[in-house]
Amino acid sequence: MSDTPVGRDESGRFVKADQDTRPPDIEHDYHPLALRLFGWTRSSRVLVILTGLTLVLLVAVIGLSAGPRQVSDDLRDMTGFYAALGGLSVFFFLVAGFILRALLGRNPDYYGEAETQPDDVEARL
Amino acid sequence: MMSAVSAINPGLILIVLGIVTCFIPVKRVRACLTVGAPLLGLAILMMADRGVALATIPLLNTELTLYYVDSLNFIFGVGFLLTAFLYGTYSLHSHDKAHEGAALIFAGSAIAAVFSGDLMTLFIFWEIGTASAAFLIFKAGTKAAYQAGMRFIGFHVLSGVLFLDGLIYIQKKSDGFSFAEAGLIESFSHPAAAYLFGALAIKAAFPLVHTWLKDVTPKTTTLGGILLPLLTTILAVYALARLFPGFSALIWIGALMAAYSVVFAAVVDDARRILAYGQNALCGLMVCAVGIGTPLAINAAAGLAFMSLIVVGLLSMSIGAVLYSTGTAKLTELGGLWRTMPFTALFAIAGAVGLSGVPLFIGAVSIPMAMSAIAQSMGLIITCAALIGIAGLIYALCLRLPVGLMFGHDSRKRPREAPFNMLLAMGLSALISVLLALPNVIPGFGYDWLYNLLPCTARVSPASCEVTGVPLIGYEPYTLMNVINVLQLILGVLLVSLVLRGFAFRKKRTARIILDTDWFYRKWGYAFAVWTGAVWRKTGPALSAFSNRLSGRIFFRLEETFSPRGALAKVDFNGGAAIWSAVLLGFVMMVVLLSRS
Repeated sequence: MSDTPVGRDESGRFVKADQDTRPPDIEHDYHPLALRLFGWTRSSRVLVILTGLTLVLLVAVIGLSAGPRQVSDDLRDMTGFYAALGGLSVFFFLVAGFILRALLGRNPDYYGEAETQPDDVEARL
Repeated sequence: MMSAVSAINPGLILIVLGIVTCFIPVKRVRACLTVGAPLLGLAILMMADRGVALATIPLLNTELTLYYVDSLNFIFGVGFLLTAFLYGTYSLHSHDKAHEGAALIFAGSAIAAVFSGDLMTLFIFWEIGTASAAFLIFKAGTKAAYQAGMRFIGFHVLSGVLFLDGLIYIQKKSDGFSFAEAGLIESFSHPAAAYLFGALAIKAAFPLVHTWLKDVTPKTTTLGGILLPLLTTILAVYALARLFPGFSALIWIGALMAAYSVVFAAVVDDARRILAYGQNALCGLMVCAVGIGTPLAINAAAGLAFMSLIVVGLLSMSIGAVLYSTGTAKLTELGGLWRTMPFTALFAIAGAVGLSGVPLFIGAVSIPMAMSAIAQSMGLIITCAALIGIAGLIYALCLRLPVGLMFGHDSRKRPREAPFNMLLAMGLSALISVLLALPNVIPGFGYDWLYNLLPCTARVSPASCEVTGVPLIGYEPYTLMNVINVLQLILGVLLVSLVLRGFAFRKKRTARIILDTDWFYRKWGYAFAVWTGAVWRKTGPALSAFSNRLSGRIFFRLEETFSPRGALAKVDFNGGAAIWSAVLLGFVMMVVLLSRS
């Protein structure tokens, strides 16, 4: 791991960020169907709307399952058990992911096998 | 004539046509064979009688059953044939006849193994499958593929040797190789059980021996990456359901497999590796269900296997299409591909939705069955481990994969849409995924059709499960509680990942690999081998000279004593030699007598 701070060179001077060398985003390159099907995903609000929608649906589904039921000591019969377990699992995966990446993450060429592009991709045919 | 045709193992047809395909230069003929062979196999399978040995051949003192159909292998066989057909359609653009032939042979060997009526036939077809799978890996043409292929061969040769050892014990016990004789194994105290279990553990990618799966899947060819992980692991699950239903060790192993693999699926960078870990987790759920062993659990295992062949196949096809068009499957290099690949994006979403368990997709008729089977028979820990596995599948395969490939960060890659045949295969998979989940408004259609294929279905006579022998109870997937439980799980996963991914974990990541247990043999094992080699190079000549001198001296002493010119021959009383010979002979006889007793 380099100790050089982000945005500075090795002598400590500030440097300009690398220019974006990727091709420009031109809508004419898009597939004709793409904008109709998925154009809405470009909106900056999509994440907020999706989150709100999911929350409303989740509350509705948990509400449906919260009807009268037999008294049980089993945790699995608790209202919202499956939703809670699903949410906790994702939290666990993300935290475990950070830990795993920190402890066991290595350069892609660690085993000397960075090149994995097979022969049958379009660019090679 | 028809009865003769119906007695041919469908897998054999694929193997023979696969060999033929390798030598046909005309592409259209090859295309007809790769698509037509699985359809022909399906037609033959539909004509087969169940529960009888349809084709046998004598071998030494025993008889091998080449073709046997019952309710357990029927659903796996139909699934494999459908997968082979979809794969055939998907690979129509290919110009590599050796690859097409090898893929057909591989699929054929898996199908033939499923319909084997005894363990020796299963073993033979399994090994044919291993050889053709290795060929598919080597065909990728990279150094990484070569090394992964060699490791794959190492794992599967070890598995084959263990399987053969188990067969020898079974043959010793019962003079045959049939599944009925293998059924005599009731616990791991029998050596045959231990050997067969060890062999299947490698094939099914149990924890610690799972690394071959995540190793070869990202390194094989674009097309091979679809068939190889699916057929290899699901064939092993079938064999476990055949040989070890109700073995309680499988419950814990399966739950561990599911929970362990999804953690890696949630963090690795390569889409094909994510899929390999996801497939491993799904196999864990199937193994857990096989271990539970109730009729519902066996049905759940078979249902999950069928679902996996269709929807995991669909997801791997969409990853294959991206890899084909862009040359990479790394999430850090991809994103925003919906702009030029909208159909592939649509089918990737269909695969993700199908796997997650959303109603009206195939996951909705398989996943609740597995959840019910586990919840009914097991305690909280196993249920939670299985649910974590399902939640991980939803997160890694249904959210992370399609979003990482098709949406999210715009990589500014603008590849062409996948070829028409690839889109057709993906479309057919998505269609099957929907058709098999429709409510059974018309009897025999929708999920009713799939449930009729299940091994322990009440609709098949006799009314008790052929695998477990326990009376059957019908299962209804679209009850309010089933739908609500699955939806809760999906929405819980979706909500937390939207909140955390969207607001807290937004940082763009660099490409990294995550070390797994293969590190031990790829680093330490390799270092030990290098060290041993270096030590031998330095000390080898000296050790060789020492052993040569020692053996020469022993030989010289023996010759000096016992040869015609030796010391014993020179004494006046030659009877000494006779006495010594008698003593030695007596000693040898005593040793033989004692060792035999």
